[in-house]
Amino acid sequence: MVESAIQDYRVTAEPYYLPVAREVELFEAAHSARLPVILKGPTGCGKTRFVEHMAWRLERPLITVACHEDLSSTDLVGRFLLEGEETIWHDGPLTSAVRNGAICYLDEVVEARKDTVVIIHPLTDHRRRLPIEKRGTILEAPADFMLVVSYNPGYQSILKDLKQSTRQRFVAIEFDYPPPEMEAEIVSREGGVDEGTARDLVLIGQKVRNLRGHGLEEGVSTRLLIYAAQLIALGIPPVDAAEVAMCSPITDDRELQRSIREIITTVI
Amino acid sequence: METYRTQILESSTAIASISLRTALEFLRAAPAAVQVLQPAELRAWADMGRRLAMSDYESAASFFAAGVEPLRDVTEELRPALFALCARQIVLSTSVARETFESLPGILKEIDVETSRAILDIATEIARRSAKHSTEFINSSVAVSRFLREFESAPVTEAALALATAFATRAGGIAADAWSSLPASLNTLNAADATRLLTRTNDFLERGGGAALQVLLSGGEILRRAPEIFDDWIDLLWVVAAHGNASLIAFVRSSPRFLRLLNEGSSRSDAVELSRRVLALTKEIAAVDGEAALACFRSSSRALRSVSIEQFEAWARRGLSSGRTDTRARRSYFSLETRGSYEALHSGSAGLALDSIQHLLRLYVEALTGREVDVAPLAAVPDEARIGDGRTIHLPSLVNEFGDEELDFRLYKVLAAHGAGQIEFGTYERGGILDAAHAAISQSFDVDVRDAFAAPDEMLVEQAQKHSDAKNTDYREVLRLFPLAQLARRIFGTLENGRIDRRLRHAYRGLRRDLDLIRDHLSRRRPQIIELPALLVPFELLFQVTILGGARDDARQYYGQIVSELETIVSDYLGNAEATVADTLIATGRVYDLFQSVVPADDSIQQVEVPEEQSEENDESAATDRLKQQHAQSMPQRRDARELFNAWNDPSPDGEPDELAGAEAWSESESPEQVLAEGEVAYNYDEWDRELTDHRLGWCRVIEKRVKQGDRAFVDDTKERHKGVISSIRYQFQLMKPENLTRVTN
Repeated sequence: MVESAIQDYRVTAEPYYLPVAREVELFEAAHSARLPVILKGPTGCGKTRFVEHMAWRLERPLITVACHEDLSSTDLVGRFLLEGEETIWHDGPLTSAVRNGAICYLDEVVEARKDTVVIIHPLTDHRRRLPIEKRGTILEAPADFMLVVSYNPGYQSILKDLKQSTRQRFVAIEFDYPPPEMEAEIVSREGGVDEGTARDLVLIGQKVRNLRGHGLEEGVSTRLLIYAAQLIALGIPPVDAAEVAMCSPITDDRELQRSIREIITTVI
Repeated sequence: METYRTQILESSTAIASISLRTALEFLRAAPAAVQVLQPAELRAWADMGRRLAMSDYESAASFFAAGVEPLRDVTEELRPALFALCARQIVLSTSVARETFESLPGILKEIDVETSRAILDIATEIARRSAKHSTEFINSSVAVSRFLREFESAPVTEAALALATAFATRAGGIAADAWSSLPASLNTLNAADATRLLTRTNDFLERGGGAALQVLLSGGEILRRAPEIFDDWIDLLWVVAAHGNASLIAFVRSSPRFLRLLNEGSSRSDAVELSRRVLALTKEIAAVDGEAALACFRSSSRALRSVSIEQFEAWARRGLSSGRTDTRARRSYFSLETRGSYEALHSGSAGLALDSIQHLLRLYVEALTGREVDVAPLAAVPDEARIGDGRTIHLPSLVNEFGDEELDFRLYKVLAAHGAGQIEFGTYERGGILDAAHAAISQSFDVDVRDAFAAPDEMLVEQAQKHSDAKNTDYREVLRLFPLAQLARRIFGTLENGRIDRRLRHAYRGLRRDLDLIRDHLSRRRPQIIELPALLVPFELLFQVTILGGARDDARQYYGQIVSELETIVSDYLGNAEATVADTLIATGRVYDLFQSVVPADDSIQQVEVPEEQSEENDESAATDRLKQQHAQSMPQRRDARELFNAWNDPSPDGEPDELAGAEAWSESESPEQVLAEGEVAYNYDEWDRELTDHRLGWCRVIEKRVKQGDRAFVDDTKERHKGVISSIRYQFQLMKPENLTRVTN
């Protein structure tokens, strides 16, 4: 990847992030100590935004890979591709990050196949190197390189879980939905609504989160609260906005949907 | 003079044959009597004394010694009637006759001569059957004639006297009750309506005195509330009367209540129109079956709360055309007791059953509270949310308050939110500030005890120990400190519901719409404060101030001072958006003290009792009793606060405050329900009636009790309560024989 291309991965404007605890400090320390970091937390609680914010803070490029079942080690490391008469090597996102001292963020790493995940093992211990088997080379990671993965413990199952051998290579920072006051501030700022509306949305979110275990795997995320706020800011009636953003997306169970609707009309 | 001498000698001879001393007294009194009485009157007077002497010499002697000076004030034209009345009474009762003789001059002084003559004639007629009623008639005459004079209408007085005469001739003693009830019956009526009522009542005398008296009493109330329907009502009465006096009297007695209930929540013109249509419908039914008509009439106000008049009419006509000849089945249909009848009425709006939304409400409550809760069915729709145990929320098994599923759901939602609010806003918290409330309330009662009764040391030590031991207390333990724990629980329940209501409104903006809807619904259904028995008034005031957001105008008008004090307490303690259960407890103490401070500390406190429905059969005595009740509850303009709060101070430790008008107000039931003890919940079940081939709705009431292991008190209480039917139940069990077993003889 050429220098101009990696510049595209730099975060130039400060992404809004409101620290909830000591996560910024911990992340910076991990970066200094060249430790890989795993971010654990429910969906939509701000993990990705946090990584973006830290990339901006540390002035490092951020290469994000959304992991999925078909993601192979080749997709991460790179491959030879035919270009006219030649076969040319193309770095994968992980190789690019290592080569450029960027932050590589593997989002929802648990979704990737286990044999794919193993490729990151040499990068996450004291060796900090990436073997590129197809080229027969080993890439040493520079000091600025940092590997960050995220996963959602709520989705754990026997089939989809991180092996201990992978887990124990990371320091973990736990995330959860922010406390109400902070979450309201975030929703207000990101959604462009007044504080009262934001507080109402957060209250709905809190109440719906109480339904985890009653057919809801996860509660309403902060991200959905922000979506609702954005719709409200565009003139959609609050109850309608809350319904489309916070009710239908999270469940197909009609009774559950009705109970969430009642929560919405209770608050708004 | 010669005539007088002859009269005196003849009379004294006759008296002397019974008692020489009495004859002597007569001779001593005769010269003065001659100055007042005519010869014939002297003879009547002497004869009266002679008859007295036949039963009691002393009484006769004192009778003559008292003389006849008071008769000087009685005009001569009235005296013969006076002596005729006394002569008639003395045949039945000498003491009553003497009492009448002594009191009449004073009474007749207050009444004009024409009316007096008529009254004496009527009293004489009554005295043919009952001396006592004759005197009662006379005694009430001053007040009645004064009341009649206020009409300034001769026709009213004439009609009243004609009615009294007819009563006396046809029914005897009950004429006294009818006469004394006139002020209450004709109160606030104009002369034309009063004459109309008196004349119509006179017509009903052919059905007996009891029936006519009931018409007089209820007719007055109907004329006051809705004079437009009076004639329709009378026409209906004649149709019902064809089925016998029992139906007629029961019907007449039900009428005022019917109008009261129908007036609630609708404008006057709507209520009159509704009443007309119900009366017309009832007349149709009465032409076929008097009892069914009565049942339909009684059901109407309840039914019309949830269905339209068109639905009601369709339901009634369906009942008539069903072809059922069984009176019991027809009556059950029109009483709305059976499921078939209920469904026929509500076809199109059957209400909302808890079963259908139980899971949804459970999710709703768990979302609000973040805790696992159970939702349990309750027998009836409560006015207030029940203070539960923090784990189970009790909701009515069926709601059909609005005739609209969406609105009925909103009622469920509000009740569920209240239940959730109790959990969320700390009703069941323990320790902390509750310990402080415990100490404060405990101390206040200790001071009272020390001051008032100089309590023994043991009691003070015990109280002090209570203070020091108060750790991790909850609201129940604090309530136990109150000397009248039932009263405290009742006050606490209402205040705590008020606190929860305020906190819900503050925390959940959207819920205010639903809370307002239910508040309006409840407000519309509140009774007029003046119509409530004194027993229920304090709770109603507290309910209005706390739950309905303020007292209604009529409550403020009659009980302004109490309302003001309650409002201050509620504002001081529950007004804060962050009020806790400890605030409710302190407020409970204040309201409790308020009640205590206005109760006199002597033995003259009269317990106020709720009048119960009377038996329909015993018409005449029922009419008399009802009359007495009417006098007792005669339209107070501004009640004494002491009377108001006497009801709270029931010294009996038994019973549950719920019975006042509590969470399960069984207002429609005809027999008193067994009261619930603390922590008990009642469930109503439908029961299959084999003969009706239908379910009777809510017919079986089951109370869930928690009995301590090894405690026989429950068994003993149950045996005691049902001792009358135990042997019958045992016999029924003994009659059951296993069908597939036969006795084998060797």
